[in-house]
Amino acid sequence: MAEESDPHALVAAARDVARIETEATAGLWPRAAALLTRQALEAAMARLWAATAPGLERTSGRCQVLCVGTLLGDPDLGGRVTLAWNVLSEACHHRVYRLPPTASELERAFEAAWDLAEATEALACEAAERRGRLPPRAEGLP
Amino acid sequence: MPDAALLSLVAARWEAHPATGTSAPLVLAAFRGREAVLGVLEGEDGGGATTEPAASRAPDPVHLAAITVEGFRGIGERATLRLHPAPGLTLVVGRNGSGKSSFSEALEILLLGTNRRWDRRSPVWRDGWRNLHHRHTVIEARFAADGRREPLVVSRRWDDGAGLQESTLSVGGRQRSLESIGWAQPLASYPPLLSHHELESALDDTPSHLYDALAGILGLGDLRAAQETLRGVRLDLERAVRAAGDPVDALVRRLEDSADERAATVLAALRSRPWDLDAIGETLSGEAAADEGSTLRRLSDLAALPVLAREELEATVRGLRDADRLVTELQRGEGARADELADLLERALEVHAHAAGQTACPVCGTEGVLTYAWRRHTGERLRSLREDAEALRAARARREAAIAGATLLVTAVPAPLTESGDPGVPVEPALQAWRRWSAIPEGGDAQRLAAHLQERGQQLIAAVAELRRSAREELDRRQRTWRPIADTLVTWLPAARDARAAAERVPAVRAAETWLRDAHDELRDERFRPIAEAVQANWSALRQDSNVSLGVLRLAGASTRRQLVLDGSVDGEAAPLLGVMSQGELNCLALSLFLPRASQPESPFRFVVIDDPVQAMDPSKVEGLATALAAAARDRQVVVLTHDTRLPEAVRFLRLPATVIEVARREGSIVELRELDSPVRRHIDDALAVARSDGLPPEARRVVAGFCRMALEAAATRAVAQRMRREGRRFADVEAELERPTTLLMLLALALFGDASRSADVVPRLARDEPGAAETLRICNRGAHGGAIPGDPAAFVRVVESLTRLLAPPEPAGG
Repeated sequence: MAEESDPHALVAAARDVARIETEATAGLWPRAAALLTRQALEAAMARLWAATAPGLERTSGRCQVLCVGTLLGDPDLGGRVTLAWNVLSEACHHRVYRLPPTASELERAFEAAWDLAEATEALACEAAERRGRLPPRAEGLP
Repeated sequence: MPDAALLSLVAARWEAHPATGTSAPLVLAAFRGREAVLGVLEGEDGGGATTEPAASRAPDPVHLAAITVEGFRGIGERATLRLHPAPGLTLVVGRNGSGKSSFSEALEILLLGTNRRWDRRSPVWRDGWRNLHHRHTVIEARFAADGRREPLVVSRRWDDGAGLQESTLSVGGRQRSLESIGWAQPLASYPPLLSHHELESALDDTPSHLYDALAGILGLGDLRAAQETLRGVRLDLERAVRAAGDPVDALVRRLEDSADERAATVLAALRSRPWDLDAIGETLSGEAAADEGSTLRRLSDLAALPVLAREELEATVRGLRDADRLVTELQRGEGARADELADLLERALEVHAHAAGQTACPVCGTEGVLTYAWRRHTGERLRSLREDAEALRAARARREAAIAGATLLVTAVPAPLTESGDPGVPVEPALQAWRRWSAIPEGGDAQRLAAHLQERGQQLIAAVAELRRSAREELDRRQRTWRPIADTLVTWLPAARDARAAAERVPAVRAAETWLRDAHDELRDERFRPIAEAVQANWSALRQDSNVSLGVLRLAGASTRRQLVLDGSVDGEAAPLLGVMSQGELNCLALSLFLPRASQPESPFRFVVIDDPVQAMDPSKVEGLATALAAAARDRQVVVLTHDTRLPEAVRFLRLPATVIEVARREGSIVELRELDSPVRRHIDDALAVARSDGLPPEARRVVAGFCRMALEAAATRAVAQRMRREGRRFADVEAELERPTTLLMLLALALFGDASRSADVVPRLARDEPGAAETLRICNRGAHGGAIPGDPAAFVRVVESLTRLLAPPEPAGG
């Protein structure tokens, strides 16, 4: 399921949840946004592993985020993804006394997920070019 | 002695902007203290405008290597908190009551003597400083001084039963003060310890306290002290001016009420600007009383009018009358014609002598009369007549003499009687009496003269006596009203002279003060700018979600109006910052202020110890705090004690390099310390987390190699720093040395042998203790660039872990 989800779309959805106030999301939005963002991270990492280390998506979340920096060749982004993952995991596991993430923590998680999605896509494009064809998502672009 | 560098800055500024109305000696004297300023004001040579350079050189920079505590607060048996004496972040975590804070309190009491936190607590609390489970108390800290092999050991000991204040401090094995190693001033200016209590209360202090806390680090204390010296001198001068001016109104009123002419003189002197103090002084010393035309002088003249003695007058009158009576008596009968008769008889005797024997009188012709008996009788009578005539002449001469003497007694009217103007006493009776006395009757008649003298003389004596008495009384009366005023003036005059001198000096002192203040403000702003910028940077890291933004931060004002100005805005609206901030934000701000202060390059303390900064902070601020601490830890050793797990969590989340030490306390106050986390530990843990994952694809194995390489690098870096420190090398050298190696093996060679070129010896050395060293290092050396790990990746990590331990040099003996 994660492979089929578009990480960009998931981040955008998370941003919308955080931004748009409706009766339906009142009080729930931080955890909802956190859940969507974590899915975005998982989706982006799944694409990354497909291009670099197939099978890694089956390991634990911690193992995966630790591998991002190295396999993407971007330790800084790796650190940000790890931090975002930690924050989001805290939020997604319901703990009675745990406060939900703050707006700025979420914002940084959105950014990390988005940047990971971008970097992953760039990597996938490079790999596809080396193989002589474009990946499915890029084909749809104008 | 003022800071020589500061003085030269001041001198340079003086060259560029000399102050008007004052002199360089006055400004420079202000740095040497009050006496020097007063000396310059007294006209002494400024002297010593050049100053000796500061005697002692700055103390060596130090890092904190260990704190050992025994029998103090929560710690019973000797426990040592070992720290890596190098830049970096160390978190000391433990539950409340674990004894963690005892380490920071111990350090505080070791360096500062008394714990600031305790100063405000009750005696009961202060008496509880000794650990219940332990008798004697020792606190010891080891400092790694830059460029020295041996650590500097500072310790404080309390004998059994000694009070908190009764400790013995020893520094480097000798009993001496921290002052002796040049730490006293830096400890005050750049305090390397910040307790939770201070964080909480730092911003509760008055703006002037905050000013002082921050101004201390600017090194402008001498400049401020000089200003204060001048201000003190000026205030004293102004006080002297006021002290002289205050009684003047009352004095003027009394003088106006006084009829005394001296009052008028003094009033005129007081009304002139500036006061004519010399005139007042002359009036007081009585010189003014001798002035021509002065009533006082005239009164005193009148009081001293010449007195005609009654006895003398009476003797004169009696003498006159006696002499006159004698003449009158002698003139009675023949007395007046005695000479003529004598002449006639003498001629008759002559004629008779020539007509020998004739007895008839040639005049009347009577015979027989001019006999011998006649001749003998006439001769006797002639002699008697001659005597009578002589007596009369003598009496007349005596009368003339008496008249002359009496006339001499009558003197002209004395000048004080005839002067114009009203002396305040009736002069007329005496004047008239004197005039009548002077009008001697014409004709030289002794009786009339005597009568004149007798009558007028008595009148004169009475009139003059009366005038003298009233003049004396008038003088006394005036003196009685004047004396109190004069007394007041006599005590006032010196103060007034001082005040006049003071008033003349005030402008010069004020000008010097203004000049120094401008110089101070200029230097202060210049020196504070980088600190303010650091505070800003810290705040922006710490504020995170805060809607409060920090605007201008500056030190403003001087003396009693000095303050730390914190401008800022809340959601873009300008607002008074401190009022709108939450406690957590206040803590952040206090920390923002504290870190730059403790991180000044001038400070010998390359470490800061912060006790529990996390309380009351939002989770997002804890992240900000972790970031700010890690930033500070890039060039400072930052030790943070906390009971809150959020900070170590945030440090881990953010993957910030940090060492985490756990403090746990067992029964009997036995405190144990354990390293939970360190950069090496972190990388090993990360490597293991990946390595142990089931189904790890081969492509991901190089991730494990990457973390392993980082673990080895971290261990080697730490080992290099330790080795070089023990060799007495300076920190700058260590950092330069660590820049040099280009391969992992070179770095390991530097760690193992202190020589990066011996990379060929690394594998043989490590293989002695760890057989897998060669292959492991080969793979790690390629690291993230694609080292393929054969076999079990977790086993590979174990080998790396043991290699990191082999790299650490053994603990020195006694450490």
